[in-house]
Amino acid sequence: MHALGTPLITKADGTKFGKTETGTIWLDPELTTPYAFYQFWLNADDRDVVNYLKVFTFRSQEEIQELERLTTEQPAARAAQRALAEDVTTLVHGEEQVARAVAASRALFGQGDLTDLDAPTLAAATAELPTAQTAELGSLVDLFVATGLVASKSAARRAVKEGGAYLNNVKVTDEEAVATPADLLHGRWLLLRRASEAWPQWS
Amino acid sequence: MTDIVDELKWRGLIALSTDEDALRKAFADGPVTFYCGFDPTAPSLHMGNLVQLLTMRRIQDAGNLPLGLVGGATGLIGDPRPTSERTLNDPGTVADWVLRLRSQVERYLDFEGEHAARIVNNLDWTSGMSAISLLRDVGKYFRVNTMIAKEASPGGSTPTPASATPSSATRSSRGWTTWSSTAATAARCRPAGATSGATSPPVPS
Repeated sequence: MHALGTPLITKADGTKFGKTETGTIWLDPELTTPYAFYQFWLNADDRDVVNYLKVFTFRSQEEIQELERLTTEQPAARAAQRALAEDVTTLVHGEEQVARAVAASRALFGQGDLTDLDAPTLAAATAELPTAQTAELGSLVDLFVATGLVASKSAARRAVKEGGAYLNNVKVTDEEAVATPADLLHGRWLLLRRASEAWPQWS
Repeated sequence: MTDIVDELKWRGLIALSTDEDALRKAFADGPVTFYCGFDPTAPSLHMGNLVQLLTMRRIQDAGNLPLGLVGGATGLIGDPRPTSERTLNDPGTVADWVLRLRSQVERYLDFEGEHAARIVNNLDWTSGMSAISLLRDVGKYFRVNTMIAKEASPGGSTPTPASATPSSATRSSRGWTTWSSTAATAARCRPAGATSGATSPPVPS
């Protein structure tokens, strides 16, 4: 009889592996959404990512060495993190969930169609953004103020004039525009964005 | 094919091992039946468990036979923690968690072909065991002093009386699992049903 012990996985910054501010990262998609799971790996530190590729993926030594080189030479491109997030999320949740997580990341930053996202993915993608609740749909100017995205109604009107106010990734052109039930994503959310920053509005 | 021990070492997956050279030889000599246990102390496995699950798959892919063990017995006894008394979960809850963990473990192993994996539950061969049998046949191999020296219980090296009995049970249960998984291994070649009937442990020499 033989015994083998696997190592305790550590993080370069000294915090505990497998946990975020919101708690343990579970494998069950009901407990940790595939989007949050994907983001966990995508956010891996440059100092940890090569080690994680060795432990959590089936990539070959050559492939991992290449990703290590890319991390050293072009850290901002995060090629190793993207490979890691895609591989591990595919293993645990399947290819379709990876596609959804990527779509959600893009949509949140204005590069995709928000209406393509299913409710759990949208909820997970917006969970870490500041939110506000409203009992009734009013003018967009009021909603921008309610989220704290702008300091005042006049600042909200200015943002619209400058072309820097977006509702669900569509530029707002009318200062008097009012949100309608048809604008609600999954009947619950409006995503308000100023310039390139995304802020959701819960209703 | 790359030597599996070299592969695991390169990936940083071997933190401890009993005898690396003997293990290399065992892998070289033919299919090794191996097990890794997951205790149902929550409704889901977490990120840390992926390390073991994927390591199992690597060893399986190198031509060995995995036993994915869900600790239905161990889960009923609970886990000691350095800071608090163990949580004793309701048997129905543990049984539900066993099913959930089982389906999670199944995702990472291959159940087809020559090196097909099997899932086992240590409650299957411990639930029928008597207290006398546990103490006489298994408990005698667990030295109290060794156990206290390793104790992760409130008060460090001086366990409270309340935790001493479940602690010894946890260790006995784990150790027993190790030996009886070997029995389950041997049972591979026996007719179906032999595993659950394997209630007499192989005696450590």
